[in-house]
Amino acid sequence: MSTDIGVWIAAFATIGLVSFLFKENPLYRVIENMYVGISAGYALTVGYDNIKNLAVKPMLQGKYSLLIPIVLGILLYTRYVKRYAWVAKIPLGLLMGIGTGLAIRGLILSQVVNQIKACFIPLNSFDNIFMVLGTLIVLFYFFFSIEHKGSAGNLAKVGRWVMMIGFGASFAGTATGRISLFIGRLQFLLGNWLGIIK
Amino acid sequence: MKRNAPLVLSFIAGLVMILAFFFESQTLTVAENEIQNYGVILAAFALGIASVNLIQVHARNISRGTTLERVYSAILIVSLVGMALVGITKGQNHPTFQFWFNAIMAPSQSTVWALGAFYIASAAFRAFKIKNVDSTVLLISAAIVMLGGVPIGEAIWGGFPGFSKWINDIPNMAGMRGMMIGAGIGAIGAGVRMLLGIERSYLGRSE
Amino acid sequence: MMERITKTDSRVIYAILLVSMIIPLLKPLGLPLTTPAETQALYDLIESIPSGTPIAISMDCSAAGYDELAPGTIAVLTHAARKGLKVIGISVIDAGPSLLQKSIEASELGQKEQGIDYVNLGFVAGGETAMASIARDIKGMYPVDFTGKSTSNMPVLNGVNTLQDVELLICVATGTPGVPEWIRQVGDPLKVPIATVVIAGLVADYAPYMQSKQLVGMVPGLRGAAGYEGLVGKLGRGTAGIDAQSVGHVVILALVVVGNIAYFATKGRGKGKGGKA
Repeated sequence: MSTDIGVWIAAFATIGLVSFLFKENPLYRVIENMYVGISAGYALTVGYDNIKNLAVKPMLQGKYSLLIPIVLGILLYTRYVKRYAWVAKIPLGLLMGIGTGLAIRGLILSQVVNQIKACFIPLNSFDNIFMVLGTLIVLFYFFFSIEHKGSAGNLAKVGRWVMMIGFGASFAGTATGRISLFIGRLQFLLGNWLGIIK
Repeated sequence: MKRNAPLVLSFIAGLVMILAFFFESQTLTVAENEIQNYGVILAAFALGIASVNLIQVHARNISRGTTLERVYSAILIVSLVGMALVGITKGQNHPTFQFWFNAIMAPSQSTVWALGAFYIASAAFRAFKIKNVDSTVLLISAAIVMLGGVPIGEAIWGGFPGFSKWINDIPNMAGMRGMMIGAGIGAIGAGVRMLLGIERSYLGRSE
Repeated sequence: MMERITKTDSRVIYAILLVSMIIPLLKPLGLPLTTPAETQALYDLIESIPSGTPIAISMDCSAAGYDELAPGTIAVLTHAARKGLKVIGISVIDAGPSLLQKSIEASELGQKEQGIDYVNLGFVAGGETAMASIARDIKGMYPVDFTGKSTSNMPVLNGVNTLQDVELLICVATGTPGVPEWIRQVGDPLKVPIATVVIAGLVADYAPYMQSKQLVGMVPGLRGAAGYEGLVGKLGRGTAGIDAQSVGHVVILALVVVGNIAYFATKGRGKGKGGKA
C-alpha cells in the first residue's frame, strides 16, 4: 500500500467520482468542486505564463508593438461591464479572423485537395473500387440539389449504409477508449495505491 | 463602430492569413507573423475568462445559496484561487503545483471520462436494438472492430483482426473521407461567410 | 423472466462491468497480441532515423485521456531515447507539459539530460494559431522552457529554429486541437512527417489520413501501446491492461446480445397477446 499522500488523495478523488454511478453523495460533490476549481486555477496559471513570456517581457525589452495585443487582451474583460461590453467584441473579432483564415488555408489543401488526390488510385482491385465508389456515394448522400427519390434515393441509402459502417467503427473505438481509461484508473487503484498488482 | 470594428478587424486578419499563404511577399509575411503573435497573446488572455465566470457564479451561490451550496462553492473558489496563486508565484514546475495537478486534476479528469465506459455498457444493454438495416450494419461493424482489436477476438477466430482492419481501412475510410471532404467544403464556405461579415453569430446579440 | 431482464437496474450492469475488468488485472489471461500494422510502421520509421536527429513530440493530450495514451507515449519516448534522438516537447493543450514531464520521467528518456538530449518547452495558447506560430519560430514562441530556463543557447535546440528542422512530429492526441490541425499547418504545407499516439475513439476518424499518407504512423490506444511495448521489449501497463480490455469488450457485446434477445422476446409476447407492437 502506498505511503504517498498524493496517491491517497488521487485514490479518494477517483473513488469519490466513481461513487456517482451508484448514488450522488457529498464526497462526489466535494471532489467535483475541487477538480473544477483546480482546473480553472491551472488554466489561469498557464495563461499568465504565456502573457508574461510572450508579451510583457518582450515589450519591456523593446518590442513596443506588443502593447496592441496586451491592450486588446485586457479589453476582452470589458464584457463584464454592461456599458462597455461591446468593446470586448473587437478583440474577439480579431481572434476569430486569425483562426478562420488559418483554418481556411489549411482545409483547402489538407482536407479537400489531398483527400481528393488520394482517391486517384488504380481501380484494379475490389478494395480500391470500394474505396473510390464508397467515397463518391457518401458524397452523393450529402448532395441535396437532387431529390433523393427512386434510384437517387437508393444511392443515398447505400451511402448511409457506408457511413453506418464508419459510425460502427467509431462507436467501437469510443467504447474501447473509455474501457481503456477505466482500466488505467483500476491499474492506479490496484497498483499505485493498494500495491496488489505491479 | 460598435458593429463594424470587429467585422473589419476579422476580415483584415483573415485576408492577411490567406494571402500570405498563397503569395510570396515580404510585407505579407511580416504582417502574418505579427498578427499570429497577437492571436497567441489574445488566446492567453482568453484563458482567464472561464475563471472569472466561475467566480461570478459561485460567489453568487455563497451569498444567496443553501448551506450546502455555499460550502461546495467555497471549496471551488478556494481551490481556484489557491492553485492560481501557487502557479503564478512559484511557477508551473513547482512541486506544490504539480502535486495538486497529479493528486486532483489529472485523476479526476481521467475518471470523469472513464465513467463513460459504464454509460456505454448501460446504453448497449438498453438502447442498441437491431430495428432496421442501418442499426444492424452499425452494430455488426462495431462488433467486428471491437473483437478484432483485442486478443480474445483473435483467440475466438483468427480472422477477426484482419476483418476489423479491412473494415477500418476500406469502408470506414471511404465513409469518413466522404464526410471529411463534405465537411471541409462546408467549413470553407462558413469561414468565408464569417470573414465577409455575413455570419456574425460569434459576436452574440447586437444591442 | 425476459421482462425482468429488460428492467435490470443500471447499477447491476455497472457492477458486472467493474468486476469483469478487475479479475483479468489480478489474474491475466496471457493471450497473444498482434501489433497493428500502423504501429509497426511508426516503430520502423523511428528505427531508421539516425542518432542525434531532432524529433518533436506534441503533447496535445488532456489529463482525461492520459491513462489511455501514457503507455504508448512512454514506449515511444523509450525508443527515441535508445536511438539517441533529440526529443523536443511542445504542447497546445494546457495540461500537456505536465503530462509530458510525467511520461518522460517514466520512460528511459528521463535518465538522459534535460536541455541536451531532450527539452519540455511547455504550452502555448491559441490552438491552431499557436501551431502555425511554433512551426515558423520555435525559440520565438518558447523564450523559456517548462522549467523556466532560457532556450536561446540550449544545446538540444542547436540548428532547430522551425519545425522544418525536425525529422518527425509525433502528436499525442485526444481531440482538438490535434492531428488534423498539425497536418494542416505543418504536415502538408511544410512537408514534415506526422505520426500520432491517439485514443482509440479517433482511429476510425483518422483512417483517411493514413490512406493518403498524411499520417505516417499511429499507436492506437491501449492495443497499439501493447504492440509498441512488445517491439521495444519493455512490457508495461499497455500489455498489462489488454486482457482486461478483452473482457470489457466481450461484456459490452454480451450486453448488446442479451438486450436484443430480451427486447425481441418481450416484443413478440406483446404482439401475441393481441397488444399493439
